[in-house]
Amino acid sequence: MELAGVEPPPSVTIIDDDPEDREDLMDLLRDHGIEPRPVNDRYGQDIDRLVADILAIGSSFVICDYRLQPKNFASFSGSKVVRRLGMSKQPAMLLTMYQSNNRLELRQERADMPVVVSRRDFEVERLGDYAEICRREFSDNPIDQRRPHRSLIAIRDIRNNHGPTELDVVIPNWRPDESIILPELCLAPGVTTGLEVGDYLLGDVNVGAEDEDDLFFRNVNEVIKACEISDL
Amino acid sequence: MSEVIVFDVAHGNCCLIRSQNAHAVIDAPCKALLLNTLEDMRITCVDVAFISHADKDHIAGVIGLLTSESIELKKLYLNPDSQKDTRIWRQLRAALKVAERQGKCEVILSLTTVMPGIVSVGEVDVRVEAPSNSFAAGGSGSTDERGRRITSNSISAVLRVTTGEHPGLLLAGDIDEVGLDDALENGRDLTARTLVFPHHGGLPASSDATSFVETIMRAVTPSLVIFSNGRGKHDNPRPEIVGPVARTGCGIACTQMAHACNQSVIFKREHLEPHRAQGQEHGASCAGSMTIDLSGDGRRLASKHSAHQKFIDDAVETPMCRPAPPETDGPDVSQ
Amino acid sequence: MTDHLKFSPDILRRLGEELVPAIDQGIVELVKNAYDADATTCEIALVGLASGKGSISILDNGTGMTGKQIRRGWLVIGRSEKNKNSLTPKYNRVPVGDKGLGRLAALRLGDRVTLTTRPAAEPGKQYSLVLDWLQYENAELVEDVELAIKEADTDRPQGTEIRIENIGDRVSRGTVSKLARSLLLLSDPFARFGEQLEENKPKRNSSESDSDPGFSASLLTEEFNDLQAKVSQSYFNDAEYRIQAEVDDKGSAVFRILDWKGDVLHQAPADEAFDAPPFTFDLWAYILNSESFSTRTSTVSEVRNWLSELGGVHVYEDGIRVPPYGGADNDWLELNLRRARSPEGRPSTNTSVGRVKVTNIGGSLVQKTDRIGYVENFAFTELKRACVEALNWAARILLKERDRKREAEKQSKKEKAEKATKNLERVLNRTVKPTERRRVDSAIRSYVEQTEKEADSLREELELYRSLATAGMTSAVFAHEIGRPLKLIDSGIKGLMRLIPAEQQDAAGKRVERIQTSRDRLSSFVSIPLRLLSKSKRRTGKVDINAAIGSLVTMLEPVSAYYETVIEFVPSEDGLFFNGTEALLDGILLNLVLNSFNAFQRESFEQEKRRIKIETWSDTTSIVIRVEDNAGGIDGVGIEDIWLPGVTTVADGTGFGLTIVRDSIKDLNGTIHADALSDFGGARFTISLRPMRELFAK
Repeated sequence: MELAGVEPPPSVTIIDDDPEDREDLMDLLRDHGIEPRPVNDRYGQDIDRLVADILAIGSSFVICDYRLQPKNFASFSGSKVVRRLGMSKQPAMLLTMYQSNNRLELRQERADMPVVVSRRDFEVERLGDYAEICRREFSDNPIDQRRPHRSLIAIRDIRNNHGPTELDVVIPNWRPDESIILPELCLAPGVTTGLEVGDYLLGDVNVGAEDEDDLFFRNVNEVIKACEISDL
Repeated sequence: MSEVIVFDVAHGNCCLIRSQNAHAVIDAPCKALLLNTLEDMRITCVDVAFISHADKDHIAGVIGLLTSESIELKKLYLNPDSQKDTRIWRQLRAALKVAERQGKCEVILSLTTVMPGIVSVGEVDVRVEAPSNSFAAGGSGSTDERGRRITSNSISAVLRVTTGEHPGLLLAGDIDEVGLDDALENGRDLTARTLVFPHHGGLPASSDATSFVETIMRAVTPSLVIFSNGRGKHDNPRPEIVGPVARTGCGIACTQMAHACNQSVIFKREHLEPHRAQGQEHGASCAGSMTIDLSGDGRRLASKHSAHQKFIDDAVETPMCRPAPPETDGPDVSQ
Repeated sequence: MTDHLKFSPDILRRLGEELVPAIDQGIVELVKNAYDADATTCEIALVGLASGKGSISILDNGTGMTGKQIRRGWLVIGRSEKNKNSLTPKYNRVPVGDKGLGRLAALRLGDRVTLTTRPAAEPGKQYSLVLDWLQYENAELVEDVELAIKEADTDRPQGTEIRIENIGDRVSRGTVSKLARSLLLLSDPFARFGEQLEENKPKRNSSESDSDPGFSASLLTEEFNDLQAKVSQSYFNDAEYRIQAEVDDKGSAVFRILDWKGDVLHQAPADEAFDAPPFTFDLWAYILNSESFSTRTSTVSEVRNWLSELGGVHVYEDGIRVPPYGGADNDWLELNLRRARSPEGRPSTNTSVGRVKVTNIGGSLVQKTDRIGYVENFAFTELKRACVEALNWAARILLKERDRKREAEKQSKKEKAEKATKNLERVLNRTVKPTERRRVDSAIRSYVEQTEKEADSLREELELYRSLATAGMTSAVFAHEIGRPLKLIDSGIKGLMRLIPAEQQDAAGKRVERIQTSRDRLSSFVSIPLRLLSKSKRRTGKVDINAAIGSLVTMLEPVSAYYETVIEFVPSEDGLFFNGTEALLDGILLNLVLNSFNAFQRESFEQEKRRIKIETWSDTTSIVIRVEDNAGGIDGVGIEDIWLPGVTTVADGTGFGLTIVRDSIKDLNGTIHADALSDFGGARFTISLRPMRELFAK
């Protein structure tokens, strides 16, 4: 890939509510000669203060755990933090659970988070790449896997038995044989009414993504009704 | 300056013709490689695209091209395939609807020797050498004169790409022996300096692999054969195909490295062209994406070709493209 | 001079009243004496109860007593049954009455008792005796009160009448209806309905005795007539099936399932012998829905009423009922619990009626002193076990049967659907104009789609249940396997520490400690499914609620510590018990506590000091368990919707937690109430359970 071999950052700020995990990550970074800078405080709902604290520390990269609530570090998710840091062009990544089960929660926010890695796949050696991915995105030149293209989204099923509506969709230009779940929340508000199985949506999707969890959806705001499609 | 880039798109086919600011795309599988490449080349308009036949490893990327907002596609040639009421075909129709809304694409539902016969892209002529009108009209599902079944692969379009009198490139799609025979019986000229071998070097459906290779090699007489294959998928190209091709003495270049050639992936990039290659990141590319010079001798740039050959010599353990060393009569027992 | 042990009259009151607290059972004891006197009828009259001076009379047509019999028998209080084998002279009945304390309790109901008896042995003679309890109150010793047995001539037929006067307000209406029930059920009402089990009658040497014409006791009140009308109706033929167990005198048993006609559908010998006296157990099971009654003459509600009067599984010892088995609220075979655990093929007390007919000639079954139930000795336990085994066997058979039926139904439904489609097609072709056909077709298609959608959502729910069950089982299976890797981590750490040079032990120690902490957390997480699925937890019995909750809270400690949450448990001062399984209780509490953990972690909710409080106490009628947290309460979903399956406020949640809680509590015959926001600062769930009945609280 175009990124191979970017030098790791000299220092990394760590946000993790679990002291064991945090210490472990810090040791790991030290082993690689990277200075870890933990944030130790409780933030409740005050995301502004946390973001300000992180920016004040001034590391060139930030690793943020997804779940900040279990140990009462904060009452918001790490994804919110990473997105806020992105707005300030602060390179940051989200670290998810060992075996990610928040695929659907993250799908809605994935567009604004350049790097999301599960604990299992996390490699210190790639920290330089992770930071570079963020910088490329901030300078409007995202890597191939993160580049959005206007894409067709075929609706295979619509489910709303309980809770929020979910669609089963196929993105022909990504994997024509694989259907994935798309929460209705990823769709623009206007297009959801009257949607039927067999219809198509049009939206910006990073069809270069390797993994389903890396897909993001933006501007899903056009519908092609099944009946509009003419024979060839 | 006219050239064709044969992209490493893993299992599938995708070519881009560039000539005097005109651009053409022939087939494209899924994912973003073609779109990202076009965007980086600042190509905002593709004059014409061809879909050789109705398989998703040839269509899916064209769907992306049709819906793209940054790139305009002006004209699309394809043969309707009655046998293929597949999902991908419906999805293509939906994408055409999108293009129609954006008012940007003319669709011509014929890609035969008669219609359009020949399409110009800048200085480049794209000649349709197969299928013939009558053969395509029968469509897949029918049988040919010898009673053989005509499949979607049989009616795959074969395009010969040339500039002026220079020797060119033959894009054979997924054509099988039935379609090939039709072209040859109609006296089509298939000769080309470089051949993108049909069906990614997979086995032909019913005929003997060796005789299929002999037929096509005799008809094309290439000096370079390209296999557009994906490492791991379908195990292409097959040794039954590569063997006979190699024995003709012509050069061979695969976009990706088959398992049979090397058990593990190889992360080397010095020999690769600067264009995107799907296998590069995973160490799966062999020749990767390849540029064929249509203004010159219809082959790869010599330096690139020799860099690739050196890579094979140095790094690939059991390359299928190298003819097997002459067999010895057992161990030397003279001592 | 010889001395005697002498008794104060106080002893009479204490013996009678304290040992036999139920008045109706006292009277029934007198009726049983009539049975033992070979009577065929016995009438009980209650006179002037409302006046405050009412009286009870018990009149039978038995063999009566001679003066000597009165003196040697009737007046001797508390002689226990020596020999069950000595049958009554005329009808060879096994004596069932109690000559002792039960009778005393009944006799002491009023101020004064008059006994009048005309012995069969001395036709034309009548003996009478008056017991004036007021005299005893005033006497110093029991023996000081003199009694006179009067003798007179009579032309009235044989029999005995006992009249208890001035009973005051000691007999309430409730007692009367209980008495009516007891009397009705006293002599096997099942026997009257000509069922085909007569060959199973205990063998007796009945050659020289008359055949027993039967015995009936009646209460001369309105209530009794109503009740009798209800009970005497027979709906046995409306049963869906009958489960039967027959245990012979060698203890070997045969289990059967019979249809309503009494034909055997399934039969199998029991795998093992039972050390119980010979008996037959029958359980008639009903399906109380209008569909299964559509072809019958009786109605569902008739049968339902009848079942609720007749109650559960009654025990008849030699033709006479042994209370309280099968009485109101007595589910001694735990039919309801078994049904709650696996509803298929399991009747409940509301949908079945049963009888155990036991021959107790050997006397291995011993009735308790208060005449309510058997002493739970080995013989009785074995009898119970045989009945339970029969039920289990039948449930297995019925389940299999049902499965087969379901499969067959599926097949026939498919065929029917195909046929219906063809039929529709034909009709449409004939009746709809080709021009209209498109519209009709599309209307039909959209109708079919809608119906299918509905079916789909049900199927989805079922699939979710299935996958949850599978997940539960799988996690338990793998939890068992976790021990080995945990052990390996332990020994691995020790080994590594030995390899680390002394000067680096400190730095390494910190990392090792972390591994150790993680290992402990892992092991505590993993123990949760193991605990839930452990067999002993699923065994039904007396559950000590406080102990169970206490150990659950202890088990959760590492988890609650991880979530920075304090779980306070405030148990009641007295012990609380219910009859059920610990697993059910664990499931209820775990679901509630996990909900709290989730609630604390809601986006943009803040709680500095996370607390969960579990309290137990008992009020007059029930056991109360309360679980509350300070996680801000229930929002985003209506309080009445929280119980619905699939309703969840947590992404990726199954929404089944509270549904399971509700269903579990229903199984325990309890109730649960939810408050969206309590003073404690969050959701509050209040559970009321019925306490364990005294009878089973051993």
